Amino acid sequence: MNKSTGFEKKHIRGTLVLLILIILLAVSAVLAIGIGSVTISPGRVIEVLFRPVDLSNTDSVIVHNMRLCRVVASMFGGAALALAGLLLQILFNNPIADPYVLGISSGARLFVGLAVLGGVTFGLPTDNSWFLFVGGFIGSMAMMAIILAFAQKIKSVTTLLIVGMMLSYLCSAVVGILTSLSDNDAVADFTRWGMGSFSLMTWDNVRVLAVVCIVFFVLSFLLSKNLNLYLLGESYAKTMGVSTKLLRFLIILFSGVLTAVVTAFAGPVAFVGMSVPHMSRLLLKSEDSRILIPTSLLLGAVFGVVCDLLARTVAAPGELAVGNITSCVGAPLVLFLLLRKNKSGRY
Amino acid sequence: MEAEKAIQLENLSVGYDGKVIVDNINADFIKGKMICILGANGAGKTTMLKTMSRIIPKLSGEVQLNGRPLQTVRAADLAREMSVVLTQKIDVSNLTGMQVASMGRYPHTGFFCKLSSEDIAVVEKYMELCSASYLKDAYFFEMSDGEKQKIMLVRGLAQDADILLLDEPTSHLDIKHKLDVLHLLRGLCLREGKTIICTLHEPDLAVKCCDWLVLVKDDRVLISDSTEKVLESGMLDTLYGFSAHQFNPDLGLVEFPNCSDKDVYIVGSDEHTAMLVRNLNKFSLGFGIGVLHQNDVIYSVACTMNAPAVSVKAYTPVTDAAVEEAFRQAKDYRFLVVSRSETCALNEKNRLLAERLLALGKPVLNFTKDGIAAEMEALCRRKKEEA
Repeated sequence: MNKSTGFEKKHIRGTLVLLILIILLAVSAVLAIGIGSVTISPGRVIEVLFRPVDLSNTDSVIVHNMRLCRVVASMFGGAALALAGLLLQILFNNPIADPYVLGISSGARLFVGLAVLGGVTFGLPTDNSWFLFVGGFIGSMAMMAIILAFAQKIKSVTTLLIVGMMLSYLCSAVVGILTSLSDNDAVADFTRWGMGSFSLMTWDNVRVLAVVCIVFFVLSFLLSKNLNLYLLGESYAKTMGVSTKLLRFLIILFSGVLTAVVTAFAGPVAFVGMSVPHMSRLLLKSEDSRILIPTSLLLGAVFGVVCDLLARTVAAPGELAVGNITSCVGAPLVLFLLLRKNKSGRY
Repeated sequence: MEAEKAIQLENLSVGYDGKVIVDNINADFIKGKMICILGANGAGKTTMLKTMSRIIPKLSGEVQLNGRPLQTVRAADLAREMSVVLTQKIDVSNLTGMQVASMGRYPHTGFFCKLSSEDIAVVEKYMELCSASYLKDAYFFEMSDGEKQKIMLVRGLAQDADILLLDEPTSHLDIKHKLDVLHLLRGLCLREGKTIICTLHEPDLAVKCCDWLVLVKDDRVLISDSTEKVLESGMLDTLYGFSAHQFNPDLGLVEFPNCSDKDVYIVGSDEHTAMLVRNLNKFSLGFGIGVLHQNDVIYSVACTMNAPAVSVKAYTPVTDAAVEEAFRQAKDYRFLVVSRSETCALNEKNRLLAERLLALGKPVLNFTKDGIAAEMEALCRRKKEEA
């Protein structure tokens, strides 16, 4: 009879949301490539996009050499941060957790800074994308370790957020001090993405970003079953066959890697990790990781592209940091969630 | 023949962060039995369950699951051999009752937990049995505590393991659902041979549905034995610190203690006596009663309330000695109630007792079923005025 109607309804809803997001991503990407100081029509964008770069054609040069790189970067950047946020939310069992809010992005940024500074001093390849990524990764894991140590003592997540904010401030201050002490060009470059920006992305960066992202997107998706069981809490997850220690380690590793790879090249982009999974839940009305992960990835990509487009165009010919745009969306959302949490306990 | 054991605890110590909560536990849980761990709040029942299910590590000693050390069992195998229902609140919002309950099937599904129609049938069967079907499409955050508890119970049952560990599975349920759930668990134990280990806060219910009781108090297990042996030992009184009787395990009676004032003496019993003594009790009026036969339920009620009751053996005539004893006690009471039932050869001496007491000029109270509360209040007022 009407067996599993609930499941099917969810299934249809999920598929529909994914389809719409794919279309939205394609449209926003084409628009983002087309819009700028020189505007190229969507038709022309598609036409040039699928041909090899043609140096005699201005449109082709703009699309391939200037805009495409940045749009791909913002796509992966948005998706990676969204997934990192989702993973942290499951880990902390709280919708406000996010790599930026918990100070992990700032930690990654500080260590990228230290890596660049140290690299310049010791003659290491500071322009190598993998080098930057490793620096960021060490930073994000260090910050994660500090947050988890606090989380052992502090049960209130609100307090944990304050700890994260303080760590953020601390890291920013150290970055500030480093910058003032050094007039090195490489460091100056590094301060430019203080609020998070995709403007300095090179194809080399994007290659590293894409490779790391795709690998960890797939790995995270493979954790879906365990992530779902983890929703019931650590005790229940244990009784249902989940090795919770390993799972926690993997969640921390994956979200650390994803945060690091974005932050290494684009700096700390605020609140994406919190807003996108939240919007995804509202769209899906589900907490099921099997559908929530792909939805968050796609929505994160769209969010990244659109926010970066706004950052480039709102104050043209000047440019805003993409982090400013995402903060405008994310910060009010945090406040809203805090209020809601007090009222009904849940959103 | 040695019965097969599902779980054996050998010199087990349980607790948190190195702090011992229950020490040196030795208990064997036989397959296919329903076992209840009883103890006051904070005695360590939950800690024991969590250690047996490997949620927290044991401090020392050994837990054997189906004859092998628990720590050697693979997590995935453990999930298929044992399912656990806890009391802790879980915090999932955007999941429906059906989705949460279906998670019970995850240990039986593949990598992406696709549920077969068989899996769904199992979940729906237990939804039905726990009368939770109406919660299928409701979101978890919309449910009451009792409804959440039902869904988590369905989830635990749907996991379909041979051993079920349940921590206060009925704590948030109303009395009907409480009985339904315990009846269901008892049925699973009898019909499907499942081993059920639960904690309950109702010793009366535990006695009625469990084969084996484990009493935990003051860091240790007082006794772990068959329900009958435990009742015989009288340890249940020790366990809860019942000062005198208040709980009658044979009948599962739980009563408030009788007030020690000598207010009303009841001669004999009739169909309204149970209501009368409960009401006296409710209004804190002390009573004594006699002469009763020991198979009279009123005798059990009076004893459970710890009221003085003079009795003779079942189906033997009331003796002069008993009447004498009852008269001696009754003299000091202010009011008299005389049973309205017919006397017969066995209890005609009660009539003599009543006549002797009436001769002392004791006022007789007459109660009607409907007016009993008002009459109790009147009695209380009189008692206060006289004092």
